[in-house]
Amino acid sequence: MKHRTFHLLPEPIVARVRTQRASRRVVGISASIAVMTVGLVAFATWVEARSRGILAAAQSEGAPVIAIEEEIETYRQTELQLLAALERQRTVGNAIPAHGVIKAVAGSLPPGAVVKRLMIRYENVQGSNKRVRRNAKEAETPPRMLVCELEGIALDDAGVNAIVQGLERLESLSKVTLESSRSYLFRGKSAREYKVTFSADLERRWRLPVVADASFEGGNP
Amino acid sequence: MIRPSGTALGLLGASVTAFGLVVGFLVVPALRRADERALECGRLYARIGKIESARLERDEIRERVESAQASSRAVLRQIPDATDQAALMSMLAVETGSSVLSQTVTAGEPVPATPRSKESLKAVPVTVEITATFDQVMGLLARAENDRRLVRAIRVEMEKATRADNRRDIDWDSPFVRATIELDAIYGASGGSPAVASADAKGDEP
Repeated sequence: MKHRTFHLLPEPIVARVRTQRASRRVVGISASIAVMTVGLVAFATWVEARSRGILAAAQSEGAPVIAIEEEIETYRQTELQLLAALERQRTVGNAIPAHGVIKAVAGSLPPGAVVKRLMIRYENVQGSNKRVRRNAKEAETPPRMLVCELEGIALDDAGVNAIVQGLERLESLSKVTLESSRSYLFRGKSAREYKVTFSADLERRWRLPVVADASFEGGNP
Repeated sequence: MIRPSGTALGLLGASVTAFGLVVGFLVVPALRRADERALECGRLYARIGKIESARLERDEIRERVESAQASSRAVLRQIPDATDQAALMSMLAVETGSSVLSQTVTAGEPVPATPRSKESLKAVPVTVEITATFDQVMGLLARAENDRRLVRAIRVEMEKATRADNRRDIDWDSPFVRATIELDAIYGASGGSPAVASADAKGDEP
């Protein structure tokens, strides 16, 4: 026996039904994706809020330590500024003040010795407005030096020696040289006229002189 | 071939696009930020764990800086931005009288403060010629060198006063000396605060 199938619905209607069915499936998939998207938005918002909350809690808990670290950083900056200022003063200022040298020289003179002339010169300290062309070897700045000349009259040779020895004992001075010592008639009495030179290295790291030293006491050289 | 409706396909396209956008612009950045925050939290908690040592370090550095500031106040000079010659002149001026016979103060053209080309500071050379007692001359020199402002000596020459009738003959009985003091007043410190001072002012003698 042979079976035959008859389509009672017309072809266009069948096609329309199939299309609607396919569209429903696609809409269903779209709806699922939309739901997943909404879920992801919620998830992202939750992650954001949670991580922000955790960080805020940690920051609030760590606020004291953050403040301490900021304080440490401020102190470090201050310390660096102090060191920079000190270094600048060492570069520009004189570590051995002239009045200190004169005071020390006056203090080292033996009784009976007098000073006719005293000259202190700080070399290689000051810059110049003149442009000097230098080669690479000369471009290095020569070391700063304090050079001093002392001329005067002592009672005798022993007095002159005492002056030289007294200056040699001064820690900051070096190269104390007796340039000359000759006989001199001072107020009808025989004496010695002397000339002594000495120097000091200003590049050494001397203790910096104190500001407004009110304790200065004068005295004849 | 069965083809879904255009509206359905449009909806699918829109939902896939929205999905992509949400993942790309919302979820991934949120996760990345969460990772970074987690790391930051880890670092913070590690720092919180070391709060005691941070306190100790803070106390130590505070003590060191305060001590350095205290000692620096005694030694560090101020370097003004401008020459401020008026204050300088008034600091160097002395009244003539029984202990000061004469005084001349002359200021020169500013020069670089050091021979080093890198140094931006300037110096005003000031020459003081004075005939006075030794104590007065020393007082003037000490006042200049001990001033809060950075003033340095460049040359000091001092000799006993000579007789009025014979300039080559020293007057041993005279209490006066003739002195020429060349000073440099440093200025131009735009780079640093004059209030800051040395940290190793103590015990840095060679």
